[in-house]
Amino acid sequence: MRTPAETAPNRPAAAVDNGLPLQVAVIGAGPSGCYAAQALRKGQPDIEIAVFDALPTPFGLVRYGIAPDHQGAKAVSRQFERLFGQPGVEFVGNVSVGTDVSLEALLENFHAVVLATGLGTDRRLGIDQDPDARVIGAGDLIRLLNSDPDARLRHRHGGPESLGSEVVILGTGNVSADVARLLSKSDLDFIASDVDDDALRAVAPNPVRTIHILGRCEPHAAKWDASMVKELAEIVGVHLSVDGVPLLGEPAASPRTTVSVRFQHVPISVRRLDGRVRVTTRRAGDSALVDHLDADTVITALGFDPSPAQSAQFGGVEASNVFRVGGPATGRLGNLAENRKLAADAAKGVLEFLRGQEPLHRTGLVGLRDRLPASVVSFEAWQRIDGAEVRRARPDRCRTKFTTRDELLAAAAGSGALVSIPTATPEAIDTTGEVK
Amino acid sequence: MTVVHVLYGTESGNAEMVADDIAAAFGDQGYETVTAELTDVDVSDLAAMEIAVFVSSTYGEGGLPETAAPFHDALLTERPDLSGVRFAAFGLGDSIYETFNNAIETIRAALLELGAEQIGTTAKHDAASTTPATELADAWARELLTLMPA
Ligand SMILES: Cc1cc2nc3c(=O)[nH]c(=O)nc-3n(C[C@H](O)[C@H](O)[C@H](O)COP(=O)(O)OP(=O)(O)OC[C@H]3O[C@@H](n4cnc5c(N)ncnc54)[C@H](O)[C@@H]3O)c2cc1C
Ligand SMILES: Cc1cc2nc3c(=O)[nH]c(=O)nc-3n(C[C@H](O)[C@H](O)[C@H](O)COP(=O)(O)O)c2cc1C
Repeated sequence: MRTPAETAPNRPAAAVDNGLPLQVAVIGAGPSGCYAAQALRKGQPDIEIAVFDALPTPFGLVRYGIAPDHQGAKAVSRQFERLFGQPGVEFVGNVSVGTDVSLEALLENFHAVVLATGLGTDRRLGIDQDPDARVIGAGDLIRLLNSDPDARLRHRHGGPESLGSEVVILGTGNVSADVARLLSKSDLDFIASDVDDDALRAVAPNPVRTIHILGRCEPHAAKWDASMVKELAEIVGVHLSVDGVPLLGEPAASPRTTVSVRFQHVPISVRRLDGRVRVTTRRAGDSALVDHLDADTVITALGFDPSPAQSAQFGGVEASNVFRVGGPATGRLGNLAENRKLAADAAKGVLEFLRGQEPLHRTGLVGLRDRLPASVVSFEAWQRIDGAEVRRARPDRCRTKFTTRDELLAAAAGSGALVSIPTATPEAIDTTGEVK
Repeated sequence: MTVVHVLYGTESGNAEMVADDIAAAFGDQGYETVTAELTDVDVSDLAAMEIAVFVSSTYGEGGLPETAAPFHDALLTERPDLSGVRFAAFGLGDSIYETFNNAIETIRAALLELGAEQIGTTAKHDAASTTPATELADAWARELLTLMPA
């Protein structure tokens, strides 16, 4: 298929320095990095771009963040597939910049470097908290349910553990709504998703009975989209109330999961109590009003921060040819639309900078080849992973992802051995499609 | 030959990709095409366009994407006479929303009200479906091409 850059009759005239193309390295193949690469190519179609990612797979949190039951939102990856289909745009997967290859090496070989590394960790609560109270990050949980091979919860000793039947979610943004929805859906509600069924069964072997969502702000200031809350309330078997008021009227039957949202509750401590967790809150505006909530697990959905590795590697980097997009630029993870705009602006800045420079000879990826690890995953190799995951999907799932780096790399290499793994045995599913 | 203007409103870029596909389909048939984001289109230039293809996603509760809203506002305030303008419409949405593909309807309504004439059917891509938007765009553009003046 021809790419738009090749077919668009209204493309800008190519400006090449001494016949040699401009070379740009992008660190991070998430949406910010891909949108930036896309905008760079639209601005200057002959620019050559290498997009590095520490993971063997591209698309960052489109693959490992956006909820597995929101395939519509994940479809933006089609834009990025088209990007990598163009000659002159390379995916350099399974290469962590700062570890496998240095930033300096990139700066020697490329005219400019774009940092698009996202924000790798869940923001911590920052209040008085027992270190051994069961508190997990929403990002960590969703990475697990999205089959991220590096998901921290997968690698804890003994594997992912059950969240229990009563959960508190702190925060009232879209990620909080995603978590509540994923924990309150029945197996039938996951049809056509690519949820990690094994992981879901490990964290929720039985339906989560009660979900408390606590927000510090007033209801109108909640960061989630109204449609997200509505979607949650409309799940069959879910009863949702906001500050005690049912959102969709009282349900007829007894609900499978009760979700109660409470605003203006400011958490002040998280303690371990008899093997459970006690969250103590005070009412916003009246610190004398203190409440306690006991639950099996607390999930924080309070935004994201750079991971310690990201801060250490790129925190202080300042050079005129280093640009930042997404989280590294704003400190917020943002959504796709915001990051697309930021990336377009950054790409403009990069092109202005490059056009204002004396042309230097840079060889791009070619000059770096012998310094890259042998296990680099190209875009073509990613397409083999992609194909294998779709082929091995259980019938009611759109894909069944590989969950370890070894499996991913084997699939990337085209090893057929792992390709067809039926993940659900027939006897595990009864006639209603409900997993026992 | 007729110049085809492909004008898009988008937030996460899917409509831009569809616009590129439509432009490519017309370009392959020898048409000259101009692709532009609605933020870069002056409504006063519309009346001079022979064929304009509008591509827009839907946001919020059935609203226009951020980049299309100012254009729509300008249409309704400046009210250019669009008789003589022929347009086609391609929407992108997601059927998990009740206001499925509302934005392209909003744009259509304004264009029709100002005298423009629609050609072809309004395409409505559903992100929740398994059909990629580009596939629908290719098929739809081919059908549209059969309706073009020789
Ligand atoms: C649970 C959840 C649900 C979401 N749902 C939606 C939604 O429905 N709609 C929406 O618009 N947005 C959604 N978002 C937000 C969206 O995911 C982000 O806006 C977007 O992914 C940010 O893109 P990014 O490229 O900046 O970061 P990321 O997606 O995190 O990508 C960063 C990439 O950089 C790589 N990287 C990091 N460090 C290095 C290094 N040293 N070397 C090489 N590579 C490195 C990482 O591996 C990663 O692939 C959601 C987010 C979450 C967490
Ligand atoms: C916050 C949000 C709100 C949305 N609202 C609607 C809606 O009301 N109706 C609809 O049909 N689609 C809605 N969508 C789906 C988008 O229109 C769909 O994902 C589309 O493919 C996006 O195209 P774009 O990338 O060009 O912006 C919404 C998407 C998001 C993220």
